[in-house]
Amino acid sequence: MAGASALPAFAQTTLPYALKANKPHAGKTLNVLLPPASQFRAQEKRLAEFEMLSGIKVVYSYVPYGQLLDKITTEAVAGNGAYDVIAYQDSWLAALSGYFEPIDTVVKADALDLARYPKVFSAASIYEGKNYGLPVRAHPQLFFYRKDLYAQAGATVPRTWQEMIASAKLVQEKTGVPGVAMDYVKGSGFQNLWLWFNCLWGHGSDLLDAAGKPRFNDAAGVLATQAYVDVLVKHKVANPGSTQFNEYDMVNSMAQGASASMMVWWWTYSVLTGARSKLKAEQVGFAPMVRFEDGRSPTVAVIMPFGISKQSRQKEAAWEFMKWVTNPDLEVAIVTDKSDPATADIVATHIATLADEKVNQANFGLPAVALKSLDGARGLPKLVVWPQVASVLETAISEMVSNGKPVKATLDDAARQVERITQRAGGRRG
Amino acid sequence: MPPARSSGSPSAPAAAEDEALPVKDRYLKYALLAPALLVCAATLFYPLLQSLVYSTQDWNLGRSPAPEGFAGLANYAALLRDPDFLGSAKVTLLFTLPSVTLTIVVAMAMALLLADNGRLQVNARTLLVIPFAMSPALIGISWRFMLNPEFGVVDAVVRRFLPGLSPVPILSDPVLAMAALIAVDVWHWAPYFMLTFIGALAALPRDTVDAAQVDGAGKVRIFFEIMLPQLWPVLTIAILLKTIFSLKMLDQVVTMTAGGPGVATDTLPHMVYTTAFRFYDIGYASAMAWLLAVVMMGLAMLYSRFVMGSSK
Repeated sequence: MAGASALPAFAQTTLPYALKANKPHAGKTLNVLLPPASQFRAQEKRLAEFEMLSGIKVVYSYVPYGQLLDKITTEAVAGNGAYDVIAYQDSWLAALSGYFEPIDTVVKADALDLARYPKVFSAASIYEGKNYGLPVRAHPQLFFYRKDLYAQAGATVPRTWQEMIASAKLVQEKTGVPGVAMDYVKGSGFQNLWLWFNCLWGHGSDLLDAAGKPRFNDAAGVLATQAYVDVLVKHKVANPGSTQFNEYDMVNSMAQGASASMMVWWWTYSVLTGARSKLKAEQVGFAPMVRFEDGRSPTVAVIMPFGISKQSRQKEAAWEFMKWVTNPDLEVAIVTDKSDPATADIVATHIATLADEKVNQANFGLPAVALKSLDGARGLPKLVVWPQVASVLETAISEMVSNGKPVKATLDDAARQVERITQRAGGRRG
Repeated sequence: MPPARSSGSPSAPAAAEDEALPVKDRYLKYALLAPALLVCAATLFYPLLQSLVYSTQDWNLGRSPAPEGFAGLANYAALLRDPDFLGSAKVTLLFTLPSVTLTIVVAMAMALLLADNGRLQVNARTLLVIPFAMSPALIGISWRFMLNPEFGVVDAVVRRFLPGLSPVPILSDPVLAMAALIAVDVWHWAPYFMLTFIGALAALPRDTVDAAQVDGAGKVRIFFEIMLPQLWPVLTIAILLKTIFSLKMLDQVVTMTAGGPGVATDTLPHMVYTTAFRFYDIGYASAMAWLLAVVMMGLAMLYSRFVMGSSK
């Protein structure tokens, strides 16, 4: 059984990963709610190790990512404590924090060093000063490009957004392949906002100001948004289908040879080089995510921490599992094991893993490049009304790109809507 | 055998009949109805009433797992001032009017073409029923792929015959996206109403048409002056039903356009769905759903009246 070979080395009294000795929770069964991912399947294959160390049985229940938030909310409202550990996305935390158990005390008691993660990852589970989880799955952005087309056009791999436009133009002119694929469509989990945030933060603007009022429509925000839509509208280097592409379509466009580059999460490398892609591995290049301000602006990262459900009746056992499942040894074992395609994954969250030579050799050097992308990265805003705000913004982007609405006026209108949303977030009583 | 009903007031003899029955028989009808009533109460009346209660409460799941307090009519008042809600109501009308009109017209045209029972007509009718037999969500997803500007079959056809127009990002153009949504809805529902109209056409008395033909009336005139007036009760029911179906259409909006581009296809059911299950504003979404439900109930009552009326 995978992972079991190392077990005899663990003495019962000095267990690794700060696990409690003498199996105080033996016989308990923990239920974990999470989306399907090869990383989680790989963990599942190694659960026997945890059961041997702790006597705790763990059951993974998979819910498609698209339904995960609904499922978490339904479970929270039902209040029956069916799940002990739950995977969630960082941007959901503000709305869900009431349903998760803060873990600051146990993190401190077990001397868990959160500095082992990139800052953006460890900050993902912190809301209003409390920590509600540990990062398990996370995605930095990378710039993917067609090595063959870039070589044919004599284009250089860009470091900045401006260089990306220039390279895309050159490649498009010389090869006839659209320079870059974008995902401007609304309705796919706010995907059309990720690159917008790169632009927004890159121009020194932000979503809200310190007082919680919309700031994205200030002068810098307008310039940022203009830069974002101009990839298609002014520079015309985006694949014309980008107005209708979601992230899946965008990745597919590049995998099918219809776009020369894209800016997206690192996990898509496996799609670009997978069996259903028209590209060969040697055609696919990747580089740290392009930035503004001569390469100093923040990139975006999405993080999926594991948290302990407030309704769990086995919180201590759940914490034992959290310590085991987030241990760096397990992560290294998973990202270096390519023996089974169903459980092979590149996703790692620890700085040491991302920098590890052996890990990089097994993963085409992707982790080291990802680590560069993560330097100064920021997570998505944590707002209780994030879904409403994001919905307004994704609609605004869609209207500017598809309906040709002017940037300033559209952002002003969106800002008014966001202000209404934040005002009524306090409720309608009285 | 039941006793013969006497003439006069309809309720008095019925009551007399009830009293004449032994006690256990008198309650038997209620016992027989009880399972159905229980199912209706659990699956229809309870959720309906509960949502009415929620619509008067302040409840956002992001803030609390239980309602946070009585809000009276504040949710309804906020709705009537909400430009997004009013815009969505307008979009719903923009979708409903053409989708109902086109579905009825196309269904009637197909019914007239395929009313005969020749082999060709029977086979065509069978094939045409396929869209109606498909799941609405599956229809939306399939059409989204077919309308994909890069990989879709629609663009492949455009690329073949009108290469200058390719690629056509139909779903990212506000007018074309709405047109696509209407076209797909018509494609989905027209076969169902075609079958309804074929049944109605078969039931028309043949002698009136024959008499008109003998008098030298053309096909168009026979249709508009002889057949259509006789089809009117069925048409009215079809229009009412299709209006209800269009007003509550959600699947294709979710799977094809997600209300976009912008808010061009953000119909009321989609707004209720996003408000409840994306924004978790349960109180507000319930109020929205109730306003929509009142309109639907009005139409349903009209429908019932027509159905009861035509069956007398």
